[in-house]
Amino acid sequence: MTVKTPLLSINELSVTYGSGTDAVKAVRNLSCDIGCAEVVGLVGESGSGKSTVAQAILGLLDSDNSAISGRIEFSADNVLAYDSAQWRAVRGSRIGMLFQSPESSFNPVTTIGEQMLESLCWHKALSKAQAKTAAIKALSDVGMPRPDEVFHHYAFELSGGMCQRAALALAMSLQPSLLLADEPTASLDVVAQAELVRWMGRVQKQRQLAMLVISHDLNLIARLADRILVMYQGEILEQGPTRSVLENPQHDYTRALINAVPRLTKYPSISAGESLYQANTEEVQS
Amino acid sequence: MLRYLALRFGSAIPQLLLISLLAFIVMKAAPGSPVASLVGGREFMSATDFERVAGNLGLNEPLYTQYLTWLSNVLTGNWGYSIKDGRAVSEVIWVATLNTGLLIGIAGTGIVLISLLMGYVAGRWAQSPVDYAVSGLAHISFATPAFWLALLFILLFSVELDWLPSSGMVTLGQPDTWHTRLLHLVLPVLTIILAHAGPYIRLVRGSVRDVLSSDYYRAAVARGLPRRILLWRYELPNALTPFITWCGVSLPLLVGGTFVVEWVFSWPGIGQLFLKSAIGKNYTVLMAAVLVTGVMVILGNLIADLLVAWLNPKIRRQYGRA
Repeated sequence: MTVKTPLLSINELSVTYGSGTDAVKAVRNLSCDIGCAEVVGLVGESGSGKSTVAQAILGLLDSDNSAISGRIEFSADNVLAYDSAQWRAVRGSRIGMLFQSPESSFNPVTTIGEQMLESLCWHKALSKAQAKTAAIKALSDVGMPRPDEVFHHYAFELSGGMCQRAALALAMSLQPSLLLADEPTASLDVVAQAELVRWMGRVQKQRQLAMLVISHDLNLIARLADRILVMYQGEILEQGPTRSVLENPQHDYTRALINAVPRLTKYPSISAGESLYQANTEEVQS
Repeated sequence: MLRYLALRFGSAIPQLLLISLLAFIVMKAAPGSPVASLVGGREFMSATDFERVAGNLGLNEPLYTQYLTWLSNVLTGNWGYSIKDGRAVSEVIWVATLNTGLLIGIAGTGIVLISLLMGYVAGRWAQSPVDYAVSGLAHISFATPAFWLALLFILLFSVELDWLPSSGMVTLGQPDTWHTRLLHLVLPVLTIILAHAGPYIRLVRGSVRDVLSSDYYRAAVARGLPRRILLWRYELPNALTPFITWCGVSLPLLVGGTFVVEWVFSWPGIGQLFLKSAIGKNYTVLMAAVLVTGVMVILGNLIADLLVAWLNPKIRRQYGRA
């Protein structure tokens, strides 16, 4: 089901923060493609440069403080050459993004609904009434209970899990073809995590959505990703289909990551990656 | 919202009572007597005369009787008469309140507009030359005492250049037109604005920077929203809340600063009335001045709180639907 024409193509991407002796290379010569409807998982520990990749794709890096080299092509268009008007046309409506802390990614002084309306009216040129219908549909598409009530709520009135699903609904209402999810489950409890992952998976299948899922959580990646990139100190150490990376990791660091996942067995075994993969695929399929 | 309003109004009443009581105690604890200042000193009158005048003024009653008499009179609308010249306190205080209100009103509006504009520019383009210029000015304003600036302005614009009047609201011997009043306003207003705008500018700059580096702002940019929406729906409402809170909290500072400026420019406002009646032990006027100042500050705070509540959905939700 993976289509091989790349939707997003990253070529030799390097990002350096700061300059001179303080310069930190956050990303080094990273190359990867994401095909239409393909889900790529980017794993690595904190500080490995994962989030920087997502921000570079959307042009969110502070240009005063960071230097980017390489190419990022979205639909065969070099986004690094975009001006602000071109960015506005791509952000949201063609590439959506989910952030780590769901509550604080909503404007605290306006309701969830108003924020959905402002984006829908701007990007899709809808009337208020049409936008409201679309927004409520988007909320119910991610399994939000009582979407018309949630529409009138502020982010602080929802739980973290609900907020993140509302954020997913907001992103999906603009019908992007690529979704960047930057540690979307990191601040959620396990129940909310499972719920979010379930709806992300469902939405991805329904919409044939391409995703870049960034996380240090192998459980999340194993459930969603077709392919895994393992990142360490700004570099890709290993990449391949999810199954083969988890079952047969080539790199010590990958093995360490897999063994770091807590399990209910007493001793981690070499087959840890395999069981992790199987447990998760069974769950998604059921 | 109504419940919130009632709650805030309710808490203003004990505050005012406390202020008046404290003012009364401090006033009575200070040495001197209004009778003495009437004739220029105790040595100019006999002890019997002194006692008689003090008795007529009700000053020989026990302190709590004096306070309660004053309180009950004020509550029934009788503010008493000035000990110094016998004019009705309500009239004296009303004129002074209007004059001070005019000064603070214009200067306050100026401070709000200037600090919003300059603070926004400095915060939005932080670490740019514009920011350095604005922040530098803000620091200077922060460090400049109002009385010194007032004297500097008088020296420069009134004495040296002779452009603007240095004192009062009108020029003696000349017709009282809005034009001369406006000219008299320039230096006091300018002094108040320049001596007070600093912290406000820095606050706006800081909160604009907070908003720009917030998660929700980044998320809004990542949704491709246009500048117009980012400014009016994200930056302003979120940066305004701390600003308005600070305006309320800092109102006593502004009022105090205005009193100093009134004194230097001989502006016939409450501040001048305050000082003159404190020096002359003019109890009735002083108490009225304290009360009016208290009401002004509390009312200003109340307005700020209501604005914040109106801007902040957390407070609105807490009290609103009930």
